[in-house]
Amino acid sequence: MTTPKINWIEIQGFRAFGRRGQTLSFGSALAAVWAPNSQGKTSLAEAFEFLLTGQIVRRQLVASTRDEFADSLRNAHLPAEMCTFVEAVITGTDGKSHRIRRTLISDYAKRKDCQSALQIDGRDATQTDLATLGILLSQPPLAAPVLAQHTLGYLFSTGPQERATYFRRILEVTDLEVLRGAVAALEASCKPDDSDLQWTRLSSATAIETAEPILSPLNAGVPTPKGLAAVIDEAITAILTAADHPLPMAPVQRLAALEELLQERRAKTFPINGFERKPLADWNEPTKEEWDSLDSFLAERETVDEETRRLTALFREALAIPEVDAATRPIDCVLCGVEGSLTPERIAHIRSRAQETESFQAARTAAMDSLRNLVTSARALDAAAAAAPNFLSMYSKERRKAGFRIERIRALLDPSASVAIDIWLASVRSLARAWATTKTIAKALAAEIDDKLEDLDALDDPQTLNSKFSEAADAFGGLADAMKQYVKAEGALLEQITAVVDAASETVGWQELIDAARDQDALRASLVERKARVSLQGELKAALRQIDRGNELVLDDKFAHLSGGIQRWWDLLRPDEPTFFSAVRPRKQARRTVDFKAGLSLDADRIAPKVRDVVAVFSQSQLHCLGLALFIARALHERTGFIVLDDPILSSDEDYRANFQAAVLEELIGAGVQVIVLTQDRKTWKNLEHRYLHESIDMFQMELTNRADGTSVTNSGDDLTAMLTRGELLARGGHPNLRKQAGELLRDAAERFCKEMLVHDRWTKGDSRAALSDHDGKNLGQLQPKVEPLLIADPSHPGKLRVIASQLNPANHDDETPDQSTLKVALGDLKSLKKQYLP
Amino acid sequence: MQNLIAESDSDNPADATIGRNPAVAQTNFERLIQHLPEGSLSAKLVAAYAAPANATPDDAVAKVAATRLNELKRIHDDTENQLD
Repeated sequence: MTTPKINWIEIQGFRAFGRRGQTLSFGSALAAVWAPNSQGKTSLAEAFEFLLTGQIVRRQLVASTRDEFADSLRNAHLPAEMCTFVEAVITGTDGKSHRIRRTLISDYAKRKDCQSALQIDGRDATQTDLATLGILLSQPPLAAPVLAQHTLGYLFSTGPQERATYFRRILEVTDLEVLRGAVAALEASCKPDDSDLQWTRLSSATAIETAEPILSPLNAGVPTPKGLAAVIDEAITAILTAADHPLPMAPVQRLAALEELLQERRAKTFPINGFERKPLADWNEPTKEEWDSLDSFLAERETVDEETRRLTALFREALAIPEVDAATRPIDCVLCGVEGSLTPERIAHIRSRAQETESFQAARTAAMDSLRNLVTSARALDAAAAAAPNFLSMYSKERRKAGFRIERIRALLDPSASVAIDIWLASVRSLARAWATTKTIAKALAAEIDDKLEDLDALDDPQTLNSKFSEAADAFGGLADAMKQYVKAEGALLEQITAVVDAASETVGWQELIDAARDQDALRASLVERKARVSLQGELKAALRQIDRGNELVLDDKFAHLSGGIQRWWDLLRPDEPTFFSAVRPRKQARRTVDFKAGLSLDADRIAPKVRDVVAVFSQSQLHCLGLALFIARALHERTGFIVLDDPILSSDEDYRANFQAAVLEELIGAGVQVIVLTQDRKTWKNLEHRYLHESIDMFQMELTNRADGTSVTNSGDDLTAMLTRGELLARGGHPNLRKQAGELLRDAAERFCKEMLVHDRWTKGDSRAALSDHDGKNLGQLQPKVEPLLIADPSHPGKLRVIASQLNPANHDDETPDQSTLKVALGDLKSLKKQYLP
Repeated sequence: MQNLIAESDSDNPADATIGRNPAVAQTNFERLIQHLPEGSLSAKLVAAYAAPANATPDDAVAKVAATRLNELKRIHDDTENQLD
């Protein structure tokens, strides 16, 4: 996969760049931009940064207060109607060119970030869309692939833990941390439920002194169902034995005996079974079909007179007799016995009348079914109302006699329970009212429907009955609400009463043991669930330990990889020094801390070095080189296609400047990274031009002569003199590739000569608007015939230009590379033509 | 050049990859699984998390745990392993 490359960038109104938009075109893998101090070099670096991130990191790293950067992005002299933007064409990883533009909407202000709008190929876009082009920003704050003096030292000036976070994100291991969190959450969620009803029962039962040795093994293992029954029976037997209670023969009898003994003991203190109650069953109003059925019956009944209705049953019964139904001659009447009175004609008449009432009969049957359903519903309501606690169903006298008295409850409990008692009493009163209302309505309804079933003809107003069921539904709703309140109040109270009663009667845990014994399947299922969860928790803990260790190894791997990369770039910058960068790695026993380590050796062979923190032992120059090495290693790690280096080597570091210009840049270009070097050092700039002529290095100069226009950029490689100089340098090389490049360059120089000649000619004729750009897109073959008539100083001059055109023009497309003598002659001719006509 | 301090046990030695990127990058999860015991619960959890089938990563690991929980419950169906 290719990495993204910048083809050109245009800047208008951004920082030092003013109203005249400036463009830098990059045709090579390397570009060198020279600008003296305060001419806009840093503005150019930050323009790249702004384009990609919408921010400049200097504000975050350098400003003592961010307020200092208010209104810092928009050029102060930019006319109000002009906008600030940075635009670039980038070849994405898809191999296609994409136009990216970021326009400043609002500048930095006091305590406010700047706002900008990003567009890709003319459409509004987000940072995420940049990623689709292969432009993957790195970890903030150094997100953009732009290295400046103020960003070099970031990682050394920040704390070890911030460094750790930074590197973990650069090394992209946060996904492992998220995974770890997910597994840890899983481990926590697998914890057995200590509030599980079965478990709390068993825990309470295990607290019984005599049962504890028998029941406690259940905490560790799960017996078979048979084994569990034996354990529980053994516990019950032990309790009965300790209570000197006779032991029945069968386990079920022993359980019943324990229950009986419990009630007996409790009753001596308080009749706690008075609280017993059934759960409130669901009850729903009759369906609409029942009422429709009754309405249909009434409608059908209207169509049949009373006499017919009365006789219909007789008719149907008569016709049900086979002799009558099949009679073909007069027969005796089966009802009154009159001889021969049932003639076939009369039977046919009876059949006709019966058929006429068939629909009525069906409606009647359905109505009877509906009434039966209604009475069932009414009785279900009555039954549901029976869910009231036992003490409420008892007569007062009976209740008092059993000892279920409020005074007794108050006496049993601590005075602090009086509030709970009062709440419970209030809920009892509500429940009693709702209970009585519901029962009354239910009984009345059942009686009324019974009457209708006895005499269906008495049914004349189903709507009234329907209304009564609606009242019943309201009453049931009230009962359900009251029951809910009661259950809540009872829960708070009964727990205290039971505890006091059981303590007083020395039966603590008995009830729970009895409950567990009666629901052994549920108890065993709970034990299985619990045991499995405990085991799973242990396994998840072990898995977490393995994942933790694995994560460390992955991180170590990635650190080692990155560390190796930094080392390599360090060694290219500062080879053979006894003090050297050793590693960047998480601190042992403190994984969230990352250290940069330096090796201190006595000799350049770096044998047996002492290890120290780089921050403590490195000079400023060494830290600077380490920052550069780290930046480059990071860029390669993250497959950054291009990097911008703003004076990457300190002006005082002459020795390392040569290493940077030679080894580092060569390695970067070889790795396919586009490098844009900005420098204030003219010597560096020229050295880069000479060294990388073969790479067709792009050379730019920047200057700020007019504040209103802003910084201007010149592509010095386009200058005719520069082109001839570079052509001369390339032509000296013996390598065919260099000669081919020299041929191309001299052809470009000849084109430039022709354009300048044509412009010069128009100027001399008074056309002051003539410009080189008027001839954009024209090649030497097209320009040369127009220029020949202007070469009048010597008759040989047009011929010289023709020879240059014929011998160098095809060089770009021909396999044949110009020889050195051809290049030398062409160069000499071009120089003399320039001297003659464009002095 | 010898460097005794920053020895790398990486499967991608630094020198071999300077300026280059591996043709097929290993994901962190793939790297992690290599460090986990084969067939272990930890390996199953990571594999499920990395490639959740019809679920979110969190749901995927929860499913692995639920499956294991059921296996652990089924152990108690085996009478030979039970406390009797």
